[in-house]
Amino acid sequence: MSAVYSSSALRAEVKSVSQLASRRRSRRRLLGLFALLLVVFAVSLFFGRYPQVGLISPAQLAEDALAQRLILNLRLPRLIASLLIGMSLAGAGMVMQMVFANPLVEPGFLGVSQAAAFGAAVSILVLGGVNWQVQISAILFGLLGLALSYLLARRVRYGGWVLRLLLAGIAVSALFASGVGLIKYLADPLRQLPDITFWLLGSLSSITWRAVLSVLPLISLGLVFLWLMRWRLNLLALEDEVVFSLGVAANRERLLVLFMAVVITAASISISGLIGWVGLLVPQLARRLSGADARDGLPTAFLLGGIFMIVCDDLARTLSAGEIPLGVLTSLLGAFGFLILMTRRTVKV
Amino acid sequence: MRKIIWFSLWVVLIVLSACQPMNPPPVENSAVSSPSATPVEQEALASPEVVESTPTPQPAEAKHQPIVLTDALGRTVTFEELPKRVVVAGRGVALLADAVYLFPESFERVVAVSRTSQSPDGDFLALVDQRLPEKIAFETNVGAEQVVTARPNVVLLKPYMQEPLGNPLEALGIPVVYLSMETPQEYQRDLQTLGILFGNSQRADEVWAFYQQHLDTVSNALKDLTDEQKPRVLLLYYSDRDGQVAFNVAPKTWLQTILTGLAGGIPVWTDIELGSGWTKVNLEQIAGWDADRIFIIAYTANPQQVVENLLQDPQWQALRAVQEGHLYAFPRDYYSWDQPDPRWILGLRYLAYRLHPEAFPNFDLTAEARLFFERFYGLDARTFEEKILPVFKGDFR
Amino acid sequence: MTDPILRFENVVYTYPDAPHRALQGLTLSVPRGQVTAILGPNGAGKTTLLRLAYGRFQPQAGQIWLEDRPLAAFSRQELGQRVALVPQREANPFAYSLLEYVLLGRAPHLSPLQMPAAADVEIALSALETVGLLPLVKRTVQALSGGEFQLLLVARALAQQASLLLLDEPTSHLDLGNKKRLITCLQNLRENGTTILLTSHEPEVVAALADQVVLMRGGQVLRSGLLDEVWQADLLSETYGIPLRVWKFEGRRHLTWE
Repeated sequence: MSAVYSSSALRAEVKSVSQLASRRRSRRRLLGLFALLLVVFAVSLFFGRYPQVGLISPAQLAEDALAQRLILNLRLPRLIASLLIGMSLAGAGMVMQMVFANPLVEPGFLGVSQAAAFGAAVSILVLGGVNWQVQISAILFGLLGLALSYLLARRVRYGGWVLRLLLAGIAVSALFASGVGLIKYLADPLRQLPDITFWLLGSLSSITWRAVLSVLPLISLGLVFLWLMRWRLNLLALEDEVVFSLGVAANRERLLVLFMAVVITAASISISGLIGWVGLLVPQLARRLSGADARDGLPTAFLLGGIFMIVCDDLARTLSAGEIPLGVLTSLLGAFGFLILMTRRTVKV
Repeated sequence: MRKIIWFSLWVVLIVLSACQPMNPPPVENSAVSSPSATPVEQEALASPEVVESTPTPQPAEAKHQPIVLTDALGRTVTFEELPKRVVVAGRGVALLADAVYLFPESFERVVAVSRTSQSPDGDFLALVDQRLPEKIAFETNVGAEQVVTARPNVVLLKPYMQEPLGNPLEALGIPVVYLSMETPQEYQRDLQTLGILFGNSQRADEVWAFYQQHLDTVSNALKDLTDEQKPRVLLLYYSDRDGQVAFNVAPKTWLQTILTGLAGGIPVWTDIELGSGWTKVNLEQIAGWDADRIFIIAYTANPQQVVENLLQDPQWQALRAVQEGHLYAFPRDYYSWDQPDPRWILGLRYLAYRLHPEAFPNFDLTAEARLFFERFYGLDARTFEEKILPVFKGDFR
Repeated sequence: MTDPILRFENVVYTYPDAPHRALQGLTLSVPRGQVTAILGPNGAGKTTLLRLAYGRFQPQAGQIWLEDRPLAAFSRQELGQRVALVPQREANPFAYSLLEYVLLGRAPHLSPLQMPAAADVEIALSALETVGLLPLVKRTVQALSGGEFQLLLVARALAQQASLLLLDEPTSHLDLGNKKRLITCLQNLRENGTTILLTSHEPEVVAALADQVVLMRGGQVLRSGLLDEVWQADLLSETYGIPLRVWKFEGRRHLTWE
């Protein structure tokens, strides 16, 4: 088939206006967000409760060795962790929403969050709650949750592939959630239960360099891979009928991106505990900002997620003398933001 | 263009991760702690052996030499000089703080304590340390940054706070000493540690001598006891959190079980599957044990009130121990006497008396308590009469 | 007659867990450069035929040939470069722009990690122009009417630059005006040499468009051949199972039931 080219003025004008402008615009938007992220990151380094609540001035910093150590050994790894987790959860949420063509799914729901929570709780109850053991347990169980959802979905004889996965995810989540309930019942209220509860509410208070470095390779890999697939996600959101005819091995690719999304989610959850709403709200915001195309939507979600998480963590460690669980803050801000989003204009996600 | 930005972002991240932060200065923490952060070294003292004073060799503390101690997790911690600013922080330190305040140096040197008041009767520590209200009070879930604002020279923590609080503090170069103080043996060892920390090992010896004397008194009086002569004892912790009434028994390794054995009783609950914390038991199980003596412990409620309510309960009236008049409320003042608080020795004396009254003919609990508060906390008789005696609850004479 | 681009030989297909066959021993050939229409009632197996044509399912018996090679010998991506589908309906919850949507049709020519480049955008734009949607290029997909959306799907299929265009009942849910637009568009495509295979249950659409017609019923071909040969009352009545009358008015073919 030959393409019909005409050199009409209409065509030339349309091309220049719509094509170039939109890519340039999106590029500028991403750059702006990136700059915002850098600013937020830099300011957060100086923000905390030491030596007083608020910002520490560079002059103070220069004289205070303890403050320097504080920033390098405590705040910096914590900020990097926030960044990674924010990017992971928001990115995974975007991926899931594309693959399931449903703007209301979030990364943890395929049984991943609850299974990871169960893994962590088991580790705390049985093995004593050592950090790296809890991490590994959470990741393994998170992946187990995904595997169970997938296997269960294959046996369901109802509806399309997407619906089957959704149903299986709900069932597996419920299963592990009741497991968590059981463990909370068995746990020692003085020592283990607070650990478990704090983990279930999410917190970055015990983040050290070791924790960050332990998940950095995995998360980086996952993020880069998803970023490379950002345009392909649009295809994976289409219905099976069409995707096949476009020459895409849909199920295989969908599984692959889902797997990567789950891996970075589970890795994030393993160091921070359960954090919800980020994966639901941020992709919606990102799409409002950048349009429906995942080629822009995914990087926007990454950046917005990082900013959101850093801000939440800043609040968590600074607002009060005791650490506010991070998950509580993200739920609060996330649910609030979601409400505003839904009630403002027509939903154009 | 965007590719370049993203690429450099990853490069920056990876470079940052490669830059390991500088090691924390002066204080050498050769942290040789095993990966397990559970309350360590629970030697299961199921049998009521007499606690021998096993001296743990500590170097004599001298002014010009660095101070070295070994904490509850087996870590060696070194100080250039005596820490002037001591912070007791994190979860579970209410009873630990009571032990820290056995040392008079603590009035000056303890600058911050994490506090929840377990007792609805008021703040015991404020009674002991008049200046406490001026000092910093932390939450129990305090973050490392907040602790640092108190500029501590050392932070005292329970062993299970190592991951959440201990490691971040050490990453900042703040020395951390873990104190367990859950069993008599740990008390002896950790008192020594506190003695070194405060530069007053003499006081540590003095305090432990008091404990040892009481322990010897009890063991001597009971040494000819055969197993048949030992009553079967049930210690129940009564909780009514969230409106749910529950009776709990302690694990084998906890102080409650140990005290029962030391006091010449047989703890009946050790035959069931116990967890690592309080285990709920129902009335059927309680009846099945058919203990000779039943003691009710309550940490926030009034145990005497609880006992009186139970005596009205027909299901409890069917228990043999209740029928024979052997249902008791475990004594408490600000804190109950069964826990790993310095008061545990009073709990032991009480329990031994209740189980074998004939072995302790001249036992006067009030007098022993008065002596305890005077020797340990320097509270005079008047303070005792006015502030502590009225708060007494439970079974005592 | 031009050589066939697509050939079915005795193809049999049954859906999993289905009680009877969807296609039984179906044989047909689709000539290059013409419009072939599959005409039949609901449940005749038309959609199934299309799905086999672009390789979504494999027949349990029989052979399918595409450009003289067995269909199974093509990889998924190669198939996507040669055969393009315009589905009957499509749901999409996200507010893409028209250009972004048509760009998706470039997928068969891109590896999984590749992004569409300027050349791809060119092709997408000319596809939009071909179907006449270029003036609307600044709108989002959700702002299109049903007929415009159908044209958009055609544009996306055109962006695939495939030699065979499949359309599954493209006019079934369009009103008359939009039907006309689509038919005009397909006629233009045929002028430019695209091979079109479409299914329909509307005889009058077929009559306006097709060169070759295949009558299907119950998973089998009743009759295939040129439009004139096939457009007979007895054949059409047999296809639909009800008595029908064919007649011509002002050069146009019409069909009514008795």
